[in-house]
Amino acid sequence: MAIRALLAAGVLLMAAGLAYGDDLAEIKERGVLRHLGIPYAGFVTGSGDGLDVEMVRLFAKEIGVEYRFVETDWQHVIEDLCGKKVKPAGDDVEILGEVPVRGDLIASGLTVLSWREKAVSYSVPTFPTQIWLVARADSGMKPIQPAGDPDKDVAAVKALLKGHNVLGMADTCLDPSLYGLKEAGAETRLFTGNLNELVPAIVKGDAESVLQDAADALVALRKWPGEIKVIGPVSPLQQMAYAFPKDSPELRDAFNRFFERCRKDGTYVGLVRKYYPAAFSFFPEFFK
Amino acid sequence: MGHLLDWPRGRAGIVLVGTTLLLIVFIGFLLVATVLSHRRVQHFAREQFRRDTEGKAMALSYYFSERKNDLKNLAESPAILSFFENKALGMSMEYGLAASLLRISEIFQAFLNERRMEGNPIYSDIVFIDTEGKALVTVPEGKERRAGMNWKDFLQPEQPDVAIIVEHEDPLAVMCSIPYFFKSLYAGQIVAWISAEATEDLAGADKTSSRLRYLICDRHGFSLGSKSGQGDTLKPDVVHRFDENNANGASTETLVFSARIKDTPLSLISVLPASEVGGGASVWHLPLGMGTLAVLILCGTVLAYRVNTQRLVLNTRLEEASRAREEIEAKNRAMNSEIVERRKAEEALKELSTELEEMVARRTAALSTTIEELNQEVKERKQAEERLKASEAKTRRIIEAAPVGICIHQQGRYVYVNPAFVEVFGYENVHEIEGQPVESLFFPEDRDLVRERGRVRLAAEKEVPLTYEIRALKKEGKVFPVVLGGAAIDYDGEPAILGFVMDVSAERDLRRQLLASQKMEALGTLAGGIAHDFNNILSAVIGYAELARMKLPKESDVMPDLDEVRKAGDRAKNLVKQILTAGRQTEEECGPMKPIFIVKEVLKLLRASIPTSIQFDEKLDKDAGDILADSTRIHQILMNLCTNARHAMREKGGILTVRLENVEVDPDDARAIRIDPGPSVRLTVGDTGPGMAPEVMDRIFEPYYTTKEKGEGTGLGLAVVHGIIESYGGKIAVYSEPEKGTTFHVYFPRIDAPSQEAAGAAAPAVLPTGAERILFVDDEAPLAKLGKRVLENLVYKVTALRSSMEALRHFSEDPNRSDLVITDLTMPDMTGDRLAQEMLKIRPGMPIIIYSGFVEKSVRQRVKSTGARAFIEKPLTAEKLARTVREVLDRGIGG
Repeated sequence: MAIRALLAAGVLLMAAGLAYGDDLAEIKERGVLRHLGIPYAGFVTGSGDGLDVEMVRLFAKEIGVEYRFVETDWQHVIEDLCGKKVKPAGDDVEILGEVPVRGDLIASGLTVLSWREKAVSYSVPTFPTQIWLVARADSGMKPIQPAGDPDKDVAAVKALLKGHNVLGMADTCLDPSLYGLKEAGAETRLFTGNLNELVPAIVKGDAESVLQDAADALVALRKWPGEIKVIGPVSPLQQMAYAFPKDSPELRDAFNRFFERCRKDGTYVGLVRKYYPAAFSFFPEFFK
Repeated sequence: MGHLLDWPRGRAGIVLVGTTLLLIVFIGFLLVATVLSHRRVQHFAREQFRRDTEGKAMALSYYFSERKNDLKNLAESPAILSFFENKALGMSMEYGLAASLLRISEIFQAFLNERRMEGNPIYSDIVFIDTEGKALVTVPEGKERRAGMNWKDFLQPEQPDVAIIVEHEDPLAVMCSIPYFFKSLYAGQIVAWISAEATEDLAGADKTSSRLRYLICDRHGFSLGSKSGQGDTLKPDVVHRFDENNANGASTETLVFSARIKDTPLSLISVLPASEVGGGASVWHLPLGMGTLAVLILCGTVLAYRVNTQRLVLNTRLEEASRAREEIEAKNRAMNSEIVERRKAEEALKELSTELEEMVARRTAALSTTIEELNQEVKERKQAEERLKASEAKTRRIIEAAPVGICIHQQGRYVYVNPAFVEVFGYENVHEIEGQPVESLFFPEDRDLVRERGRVRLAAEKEVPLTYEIRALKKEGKVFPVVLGGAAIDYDGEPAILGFVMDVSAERDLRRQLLASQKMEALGTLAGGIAHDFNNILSAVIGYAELARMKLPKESDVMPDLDEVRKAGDRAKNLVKQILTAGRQTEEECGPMKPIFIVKEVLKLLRASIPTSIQFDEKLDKDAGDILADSTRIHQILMNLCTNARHAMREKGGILTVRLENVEVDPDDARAIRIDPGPSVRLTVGDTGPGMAPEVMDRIFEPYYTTKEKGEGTGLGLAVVHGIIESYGGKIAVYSEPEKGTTFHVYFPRIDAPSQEAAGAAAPAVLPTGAERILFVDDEAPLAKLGKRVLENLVYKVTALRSSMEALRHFSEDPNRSDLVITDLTMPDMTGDRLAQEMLKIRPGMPIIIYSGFVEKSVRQRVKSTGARAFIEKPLTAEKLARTVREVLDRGIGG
C-alpha cells in the first residue's frame, strides 16, 4: 500500500513538474536565471560570492540571461525548485501539497541523495564530499587512524559512537538517519538552525559532536583551531551536484556542457582553489 | 750634449756651482717631502678601505638580524600552532590534518612573496622539518635541488634560538633556521634559504671605485658567489696584499681585507687593486727616479720642470684620495649616527617596557575590580535572565493555552503557531503548518489581500485595519470565515508579523440567524399590524360567500363561483396565518402528540402526487417519542420539506429520504446546532438533487427568499417551517453539497407525557343552531351585518350594534335582554374587553365571546382576564362562529 502511495506520489510529482517548471527556452525568454541557494560554507558565502554563486553567474552569462540569487533554506529548497511540498520517506518522497516555484536551479553544495533524486534531476557531479563526524576538542571520542579503506574507517567511527550524542539536520545530507548512527548506539539530535550554526553549537556545548560534510569541516577547522577535531567519516565518498526541475532537461544539459568546458579550461579548478584550496589534498582523484 | 757639459768657470762657475748645489739640496728636499706625502696618502687610503669594509660588514650584520626576526615572527604563526594542536588531538592527515599543513604552506608562500628587497625576494625556499627529519612543508614545492637532502642535518633541538647557518653547497647557501617548540617540546625546525642575490645586492660595490669587489664567505672560504679558498688564509683586521693575474696574464697587486659579520658564521671580504690606493709604483721608485733626475738636473731646467710636473700630479691624486676619504668618513659618521639612534630607540623601548609593565600592574588592579563588578553584574544578569526565562515560559504557556489562533510569520512563512491555530485550520500538529507560506492557508482569491496586509504592516506604509475578515481553508479544503489581526514585531532579531486568527463561523451563523430573526420579527410586526384589518376584510368576504351559499340551492349555477370566492378567501386567510407564523406572531395551543401518525399521513398523501422517478426511502421508528406541538403544524412542516425535495429532484429524479427517530443530542452536537442537549425526536428529510451553494444555504430561511421560478413558490415555506420549529423550542439544521443533495434535520424536544393520537376527523357537515338572543357588536358595518346574518341563518335572534357605547347602553337598559354577547376587541371609544368588563359588572356571569384579528398571547390573556368565555380569531367563518356560540351557550352560566 505504502509503495503504491509513493509510486502515485512520484507520478504526481512528475506531472506537477510538467505543469510548473521552466526549461531553457522559457528562461531565455524570461531573461533571468533564478539561482536557489542557501548561505553555506564556501559554496554560497552569503556575501554575494562563493564557488556556486560564481559558477552560476558564469552559466547565466553563457546562456545570455541575467543572474538572480534567490535565498531559501534547506527545509524548502526542494519544494522551491519543483513546486511541490515533499517529505522524505526513506529513499522516496511523499507529496504534501503544492507551493510556488521560486527558482530554476539549486546550487548550494547540494549532496546527491536518493530521495532527492525522486524530486529533482542532478547535473554531473560538481564537487566531491564525504560526511565526517566532528567533535568538540574535549570529547572522549578519539579520532580514528585511517585504515586505507573508507568502509573500515566508517565502521571504526561507528564503533566509537555508543553513549555519545550527535547533532544533525533533518532532510539534509547531515540527517543522522541516513547513516545508521542511532543503530550504532549514538544519541542523535536534530538541529533546527541553519547549517553554518552547527559547529558553533558544539563549540558552545549544546552537543558533543556534529555531522559535517568534508568541505564544511575544513572551513570549520580554520575557524575554530584547537576547539574541534575530526573523528572520521560516517559515510562513503559522496558527490555534490546542481539540481534542476525534472522537466528542464535542456537547462540541465546546457549546464553539463558548460561545466565540462569550465573543467577543461581551468576555470573551475581556479574557483575551487579560491574557495576550497584543501579540496585538492583530500580529493585528488576528483580534481585529477 | 757637449754644450751642456760646458761648465762655466770663475765667479760664474762658483755661482753656478752654488746655484747647482742649492738646486740639488732643494731637489733633495722635494724628493724627501714627496716620498713622505706619498706614503701618508697610501696609509690613509688603506685605512679608509678597511673602515669601509667594516661598515659594510656591520650593515650585513643588521640585515641578518632582520632575517632572524622574520623567522621568529613566522614561528609564532597560529597556523603552525593549529597544526600541532590538531595533531595533538589525534587527527589524521586523511581526515583534516592535511588541511592544517596546507594552511602552513599558504603562510610560507605568503612569507616568501612578501619579504623583498628592492623588488628581489629575500628568501628563495622555506622548509618545515619534523622531529623525524621529514620535510612536512616545502615551499616552493618540488625543487629539484632540495631533493635528496638529509633534513635531519638541519634539526637543532639543542639550539634554542634562531640562527644563521651555512651549507657548503655550490655556491655557498646561507639559511636562517629556528627550532619550533609546541608546549615546550621540540616539534621541528623551520629553515629559510636567504637569497644570495639580495644579500649581494646589499653588499654591492663601492661606487667610488668600479674595481672594488666584495665577497661574503664562510670561515672555510666558500663565498656566496663562487668557491674561493682564500677566506681561511686571511687574518682579520689586516689589509693584505696579493698578486693577482688578470685575464691577460699580467700580474696585478691587490689589497684584500676581511671583516667578520657579527652573529653569523660569515665574513665580508673586500678586494681592491693596489693601484687604486696611492698609485701603482712603490714609494722608493720615485726617490730613485728623482735622484737620477737630480744628477741630470744639471742638464737643464726642462728636466727639473718635468720633476715638478710629476709632483704636481701626485698632489692632485692626493687631493682626490683625501676627498674620497672624507666621503667614506661621512658615510661612517652617518652609520655611527644610525647605530646611536638605534641604541637610543632600544633604550626608549626599555623605558617604554618598564612603563608598560607598571601600566599593566595598574590595569591588572583595575581589572580585578572590574571583574568583581562584572561578576556581580553577571550574577544580576543571570537572575534577570532567569526571571526573563520564567516570564517567557509563562508567556509561552499563555500563548499555547490561548483559545485564539496565534502565529508568527517571517519572510512569508510560518515560523511559529500555537495549538489553537492548528485546531482552527484542522491540522494535527504545528509541524504541518510551520514553514508553509503564509497565504497557503487562505482561500486563493483572498491571498493577495493577506500578502498585501502583511507587507504594509511590515513596511508601516500606512494604517492597516486592526482586524479584517477573510476566507480560510481547513486542511481538508473546507472554506470557512476567519478574522485576522496582526502587528509587526521583531522576532529573533528580524522583522516578523504576529498574527491572530479567529474562526468566526459560529459568529457568522449567529449573525445570519440574528438577521433572519430580525427580518422575521419585522415581518411579524408588519403582519400583526395589518392582520387585523386584513382579517376583517376576509371575514366579510368569506362570511358573505358562506351566507350566499346557505341561501342558494345546491344545484345553483352561482354555487361554483361562490366556492371559488370561498377558496380564495381561505387562501388569503392561510397566507395571513403563514405570515404570522413565520413572524412568530401566532400563539397556538400545543399538546403532546406522536409525530409518527402525521408523518405517515403526509407520506401517504405525497406518494400519490410524487412522480415515479423519485423513490421513497423512509424509515420511521414506531417508538419515536412524543413532542409538544400542533399536528397541523407538523403536517405543514413535513409537507413543506418534502415539496421542496420533490422540486429539487423534478428533472433527474432521485431518492427522497424520510427518517423519524429518537436521538440523544450530546453537548457537542447541541452546541453545533444550538439546541438544548438531551432527548429529542429527529425528523429527517433528504433529497439527492443538485444541492445548494453556500450563499443560497445562508438565505433559505429568509422570508420571501426563493430560488424557484415565479409562480412556483412564495418564498415563505421554509421561513414558516423555521418559525414553527423555533416556536416549539426545536431546531432545523441543513446540510447540502452541490451535486450531492440536501438534507434537513428537524429536532423536537422529546417529552414524557402521553399524547393524543392525531385525529384527522372531518368537521360535521351540519352547523349547530339555536334560538337564544345574541347581542353582536362590531364597529365595522359589513362585519356587524355579516355576524347578524350568519347567526340569524343559524336561527338565533340577533341584535347587531356598531358602537360599543351604544351596546353598553342597550345592555344596561335590560341586562337580561340578551343570552350572549359577541363583540369585536378593537373598537373606538371602548374596546371589546372593556365592554365585557362593564357588562359583567352589570350582570356577572353573562356569557361573552370576544373576537379579534390580533392573536398574540397577551391579547388572549387580556381577553381571558375580563371574564369572557371564549376568544375567536378572525376571520370569522360560519362554522367557527356557530360552534363557539353553541359551546358557550351550552356550557351555561358559571360553566
